[in-house]
Amino acid sequence: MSRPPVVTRRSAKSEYIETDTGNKISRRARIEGKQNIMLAGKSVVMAGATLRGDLHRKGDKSSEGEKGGPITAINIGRASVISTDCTIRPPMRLSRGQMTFYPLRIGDNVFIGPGTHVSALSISSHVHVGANCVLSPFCVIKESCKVLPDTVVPSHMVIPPGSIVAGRPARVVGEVGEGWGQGVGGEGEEWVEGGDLRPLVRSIK
Amino acid sequence: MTSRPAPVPKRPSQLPVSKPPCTLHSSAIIADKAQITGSHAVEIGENAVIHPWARIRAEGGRVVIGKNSMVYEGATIGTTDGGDVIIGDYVNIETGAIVEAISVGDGTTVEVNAVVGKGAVVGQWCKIAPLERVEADEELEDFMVVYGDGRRRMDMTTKEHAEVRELKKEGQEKAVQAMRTLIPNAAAKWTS
Repeated sequence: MSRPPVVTRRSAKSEYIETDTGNKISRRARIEGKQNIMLAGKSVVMAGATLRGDLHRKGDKSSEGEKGGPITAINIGRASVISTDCTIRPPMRLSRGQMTFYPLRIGDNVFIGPGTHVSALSISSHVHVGANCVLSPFCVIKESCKVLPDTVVPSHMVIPPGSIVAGRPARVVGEVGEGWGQGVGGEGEEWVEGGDLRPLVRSIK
Repeated sequence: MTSRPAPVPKRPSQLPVSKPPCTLHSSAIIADKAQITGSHAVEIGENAVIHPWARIRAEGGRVVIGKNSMVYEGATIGTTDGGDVIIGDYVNIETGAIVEAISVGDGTTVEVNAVVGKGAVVGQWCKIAPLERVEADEELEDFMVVYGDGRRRMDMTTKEHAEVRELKKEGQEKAVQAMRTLIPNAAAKWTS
């Protein structure tokens, strides 16, 4: 993760736009339907990432408590990182005779690797997803999981907490074990996979 | 490819380079941020959906997309140097897939980041799983599934049950219907 050094603090156009809650959104991110995307704060969306907030649940006012307010299609927690060229698209399925999109939830301190496609139903906190993975529609990833690079998680798969998954299709190959997300306190180590990603978010400029 | 004279290339200078001659059905949905490039003809059938950031490259030949087909964000259809690409009806081309095949049969799904090489012929009701490849000039039979690092098998359920195929078609029609309410149509941008 080497980044070009910041020469001037206030250059004419910075790479990231920072929101009031500390989210950093790249100017080169491709976002549709931003009114349906919720970022809890201190999260990063990098260049080339595609967020399909326009694909949300339409109508259905009786079951949805909200009146006229925007319906969230994508919900991302705190200090999560969406890397370059990711795609985040809410999953779709037939429900009561209609194709319906379901809201996609991503927890806190989640890292999504570059080039990964996410169409999952939910990703819980402290999950680390490697590069070029495919999380198929309606898969559920529970807390503290690690998805190795180039994994294809099949649709509707539920990954139990603390698993390491890999392969095409994905299989549970191990457990993250004790100490997941806790740094060893090594020299220059500011963040670890599955740990608190705030130092990483801070370092992204 | 050269046996039939193409109807368009007589006066290509009149058209701007960025806008190929498009024949879009009035019910097709082309998102505003979809890209259509090249100088060859592009035909998009009824109820087809082209998502934002999908790329249709008619640089090396025609691109034809059948009815009720969907092309998702980041998918690329078409060739840069020679060869038409004909996509059938009820086809799904998922995110990041690259399709340079001569033809893709009806009901086929090309999943996320899959690659269908140049000159390949994909049959009907095939499924190419995420990250899989169909090599150039390969011919894929009807109902073939490409999965798990290049393995192939026949999808007997879809093959032997016509009602399953009908249900899949119905599902696709409903998906198109859902997209119609969600994606603003900017097809006028490409026809005028």
